Amino acid sequence: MATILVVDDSAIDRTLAASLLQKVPGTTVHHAEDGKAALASFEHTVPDLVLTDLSMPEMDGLELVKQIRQHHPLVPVILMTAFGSEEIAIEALRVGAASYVPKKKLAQDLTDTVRDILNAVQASRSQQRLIECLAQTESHFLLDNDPTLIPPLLGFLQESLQRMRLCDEIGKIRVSVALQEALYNAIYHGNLEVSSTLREKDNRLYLDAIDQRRKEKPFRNRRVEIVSRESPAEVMYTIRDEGPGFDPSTLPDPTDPSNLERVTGRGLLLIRTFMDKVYHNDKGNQIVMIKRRDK
Amino acid sequence: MAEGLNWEAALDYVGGDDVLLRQLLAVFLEECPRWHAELDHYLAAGNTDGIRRTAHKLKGALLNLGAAEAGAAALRIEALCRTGTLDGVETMVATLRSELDRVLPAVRQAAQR
Repeated sequence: MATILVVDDSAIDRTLAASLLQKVPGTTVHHAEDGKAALASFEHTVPDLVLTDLSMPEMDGLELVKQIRQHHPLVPVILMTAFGSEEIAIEALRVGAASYVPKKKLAQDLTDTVRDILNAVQASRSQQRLIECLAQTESHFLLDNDPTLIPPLLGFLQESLQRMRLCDEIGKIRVSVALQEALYNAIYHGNLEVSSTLREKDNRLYLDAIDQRRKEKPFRNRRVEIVSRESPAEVMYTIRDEGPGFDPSTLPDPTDPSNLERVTGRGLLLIRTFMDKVYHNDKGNQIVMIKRRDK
Repeated sequence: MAEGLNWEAALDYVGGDDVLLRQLLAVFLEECPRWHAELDHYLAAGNTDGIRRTAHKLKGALLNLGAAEAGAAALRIEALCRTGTLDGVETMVATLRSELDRVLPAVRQAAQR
């Protein structure tokens, strides 16, 4: 059962809209004469959808859209537009209205528009309930040494993180920074065996070496394997390259502030700062990073 | 249909539902005194925004129900009020009132069909 709130100071338009909406099975229609009365009615019943006029006394449709967007972001608003209200309608769509129907086309278009929006709301809420039951997700990638694949991969992994609601926006960005560092390490230092000490000496030579080795055997055949495993408690990333490995103890101590300005070891410093637990395998070609749910 | 209303256009506006159309015409008759009172009130107060809103409501109702001449007068008032001055508004409101008077018998007759 869906509750629809029709907001209009014109009794004729309220009557028409309500009569048309009553033809949509499973809907209950309530009325309000302006935006202020509409918001007051939310105290008793939060509707599943609001259908509003734009030109009204007390609180107009634009302000109503803003208020609903701010205080009830899950309630979609459909505008009823009329000749002369085009500019305010565009603004209301910009600030959050879900759709609009011209008043002179209510009979033709209103029920279909409302049905479409209610279906979208239902799908979104159902998915939200389903996501709350999600116990674990796992993704497995095999990348060649193409750094242009890193940004889309980070985007994909951020979405997985978001789905599990493991951290806030800043947390997501910090995890992405750590992942990016680990991925560049795996490609440049692991698979292509280009040392970051070369970068400290001459960045141009460093980049040339990367370009060159991406074309040469055995470097070009090596892959980076990425496994991400998200659960409601934590996310674990395993990144493994096919290079000879390294001894992590030979890196400058990333927790020593005097090493902060050094290019070498900067990535690991960020990784260790942004992740809750970090360890390498014995060979030094695999890093495991764990980020636990924000408290 | 009596003078001033276009039944076919009005029927088209409500999706061909003549029962609903008669219901809307009955609401129109109920609302008429309120529109007049609103216009009186806002004119006396020199409130162009209030006059514009009432004219906007009337325009929609009149045009959608097929009362083209009365609707055009309401549309003209709405446009005048957007300038923020009362110049010409009072005269046009008088025109609208006389158009409404002309349409009302047709609305009453149609509402009872």
